[in-house]
Amino acid sequence: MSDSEVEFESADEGSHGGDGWEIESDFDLPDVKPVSVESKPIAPTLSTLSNVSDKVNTEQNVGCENENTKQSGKNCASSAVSMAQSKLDKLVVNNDNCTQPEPQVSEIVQNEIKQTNTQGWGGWSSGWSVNSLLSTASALTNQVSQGITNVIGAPAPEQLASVDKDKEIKDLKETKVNDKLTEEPSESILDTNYFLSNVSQITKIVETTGSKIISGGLDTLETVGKKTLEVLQDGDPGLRKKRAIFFQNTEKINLSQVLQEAKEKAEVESKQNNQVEIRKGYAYLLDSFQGLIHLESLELLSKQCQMKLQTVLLSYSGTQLTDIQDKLDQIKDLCYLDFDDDEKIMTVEEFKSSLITCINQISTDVKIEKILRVSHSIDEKSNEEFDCEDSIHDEAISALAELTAAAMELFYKLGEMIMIDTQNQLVTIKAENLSLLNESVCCRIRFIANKYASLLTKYDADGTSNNISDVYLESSNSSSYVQDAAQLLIPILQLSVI
Amino acid sequence: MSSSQYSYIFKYIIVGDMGVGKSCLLHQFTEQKFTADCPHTIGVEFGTRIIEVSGKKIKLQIWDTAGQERFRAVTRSYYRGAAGALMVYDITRRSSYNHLSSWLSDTRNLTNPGTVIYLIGNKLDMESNRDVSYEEAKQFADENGLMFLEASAKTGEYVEDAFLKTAQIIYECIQDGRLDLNAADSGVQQKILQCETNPNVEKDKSCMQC
Repeated sequence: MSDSEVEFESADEGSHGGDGWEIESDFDLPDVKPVSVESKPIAPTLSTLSNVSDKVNTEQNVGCENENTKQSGKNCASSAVSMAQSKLDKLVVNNDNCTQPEPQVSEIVQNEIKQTNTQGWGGWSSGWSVNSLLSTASALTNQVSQGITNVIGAPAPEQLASVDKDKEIKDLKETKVNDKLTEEPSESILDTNYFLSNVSQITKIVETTGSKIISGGLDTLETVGKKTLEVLQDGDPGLRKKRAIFFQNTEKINLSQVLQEAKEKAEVESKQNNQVEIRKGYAYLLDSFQGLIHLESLELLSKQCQMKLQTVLLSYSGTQLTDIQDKLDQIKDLCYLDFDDDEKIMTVEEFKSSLITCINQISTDVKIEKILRVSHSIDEKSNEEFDCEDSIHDEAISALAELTAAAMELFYKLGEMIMIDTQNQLVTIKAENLSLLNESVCCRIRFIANKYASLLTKYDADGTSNNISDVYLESSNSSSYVQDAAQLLIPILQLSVI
Repeated sequence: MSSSQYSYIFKYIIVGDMGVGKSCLLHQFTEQKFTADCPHTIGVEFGTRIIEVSGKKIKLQIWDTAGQERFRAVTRSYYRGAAGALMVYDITRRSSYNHLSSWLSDTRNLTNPGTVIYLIGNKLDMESNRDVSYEEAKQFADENGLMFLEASAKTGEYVEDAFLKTAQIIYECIQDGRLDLNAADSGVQQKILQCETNPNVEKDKSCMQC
C-alpha cells in the first residue's frame, strides 16, 4: 500500500457523516463486499443441505422399512433438515451458481460498478474514463486466485455454515446413539456410519466451494478497490481535487431550502384558500423574520469550514491524525445536547441570565440584544388580552417563528465570530456553552408554547380545536430547527482548534 | 400581499473595502434613506426589495458583506450562488480603488462564470475630493469586462440604476438561456407561478396544518 493510500484511508476515519463526504460510501470496500458476496455462499450451502435432507430421508426410509422404533430419531433429524429445506424454498437460487462462482462474482462486481456509476457518479463526466476503469476491473476479476485470506474481520459465511453443520451432525449423532440403545446394534451402526460419511463429504464440498467463492470474491473486490483508488489518485494525490469536485456537486438538500420550499407551498395553498391565511403560515413567518436567510448563511459558513477541515485532515497521518480526530470528536460530543429534562422551561428572566452567561463564555463580540428583545416582547404580548381563539393561535405561531428566527441569527453571528475570533477562550468551553445556549432557546420555546396552549385551553374546553396541537407542533418544529442550526456550528468550532 | 407575488429571486452580494459605503448603498436602495454614521457591518447583513424588470416582479435578496479584513475569511463563504455582484470603491480614496483587483479575483473565483459583476464608484457627491477619475475606473472596468457607473449613496444618485441594471442583465441572461436556472449556483430561484384562482372557492382547510 502506497503512502498516499495510507493517508487517504486514515483520513477517512475522521469524517463523521459531514456532508459532501458521501464519496466514502462509493469507495469503501466493506460497503460493496457484503452486497455482492452475501447471498452467494448461501446458495451452495442450502442446496447442499437439500441434498443432505434427501439423503437423510432416504436413509430414514430404508431404516423405517425394517424398524418402527427409529421413529423418534427420524423426527428429530428431519425437523432439523426441514428447517434448512424451508430456508431453501424461500431463496430461489439456481444450483448452477456453485459450479462457476468466479464469473458470477465478476458480473456482480461490474453491475455494482455500473449501478454506482449511473446513480452516484453521474456528475463525473469529464477528466477520466469510467470505461477504462471498468475494463481494468473485469480483467482483474479473471485472475482471481484461491488463496484463503480473511479480508474482513467478520466470521466468514463458510465458517458459520460449518459450525451449523457440526451442530447438526452432533444432533444427528446423539439421536442415532439414542436409537442404538433401543434397537439391534448391527444395522444402526451401519446406518450411522453411512450417513455420517455422506454428511462430512458434503460438508467438505460446501466448505471448499464456499471459501472459493468468498476468497475469490473478496480478493476480486479488494483488487478492484485498490485499482480504482489508483486510477482515481492518478495525478491527484490524496484525491484532493476529486474530493473538492464531489463536495461542490453534492447537492445535499439544505435545511434552508427545505424551509423555503415549505414556505412557498404554504403560500400557494393559502392563496387558493384565503388571502388572510398567508399570515398564519409558520414557514412564511420564519422567512419574514429573516430566519431562513440567516440559516442559509450559517449553512454556507458551515460547509466552508467542513471543507477546510477535510483538507487540513488530509495533511495529517498516523498518531497525529488520531489525536486531532479525538479532539474533534470531543468537541462534537460537547455540542450535542443531553436533554435531561424534556419539560424544562425558561421565563423571560431566566432566559436572559442564561444567555448572558453563555455568550460571555463564547464570544463577547456577539450581541444578544435582539433575541432578548424578541423574547421580552413575546412575553408582553402573551400577557395581553386576546379577543378570540384564532388571534391567540396566530400570535403563538408568530412568536415561535420570531424567536426561532432570532436564534438562527444569533447562531449565525456566533459562527462568524468563532471563525474570526482571536480571543483565546478554550474551544471546549465554547462548545459546552453553545450546548447550553441551544438548550436555553429550546426551553424558552417550550415556555412560550405552554403559555399559549394554556390560554387556548380556556377557549377550548371540549378539546375539539386543532389550535393547541398546532402550537405544540410548531414549537417542536422550532426546537428542531434551532438544534439543527446549532449543529451547523460544530465544523466551525472544530476548525478553530486546528 | 404583493410581497409574495414575484417570479424570481436574485441573490446579490456587495463587496469592497471597509468604509466605501456598501451598507449605505443598500439602505438607500431598500429604504431610500441615508444613514451617515452607519456602523461597521459584522459578517453580513441582508436586505430585500422587489423590483420589476420587463413586467416581471423580481425579489432581490442582497447580501451586504463586511469590508473589514478580519471578516474576509467569513465573507468568502457568501459569494457562492450570487447572480449579481456589486463591487464598490470610494472615488475619494485611491486605496479602495487599488484593492479592486483583489476583490475582483475573489469574486471571479468564488462565483460562477455567469455572475454579473457591476463596479460602483461611490461618494459621487464628494466630487471635490475625487481621487480616482471616471476615465481611469472606466478603463479598468472595460479591461475586465465589468459594468461600471458612479453613484452616491448619500443623494441616491444612480443608486437605483446600479441595482436595476444588474437585475436587467441577469434577466436577459435567463431569457436567452445563458444562465441555467437549474444549475445549483445560478443565484436565481424561480418561483412557482401562482395561477389565478377564485379566492372564494371552498377548499379543505385541514391540509394547511401540515
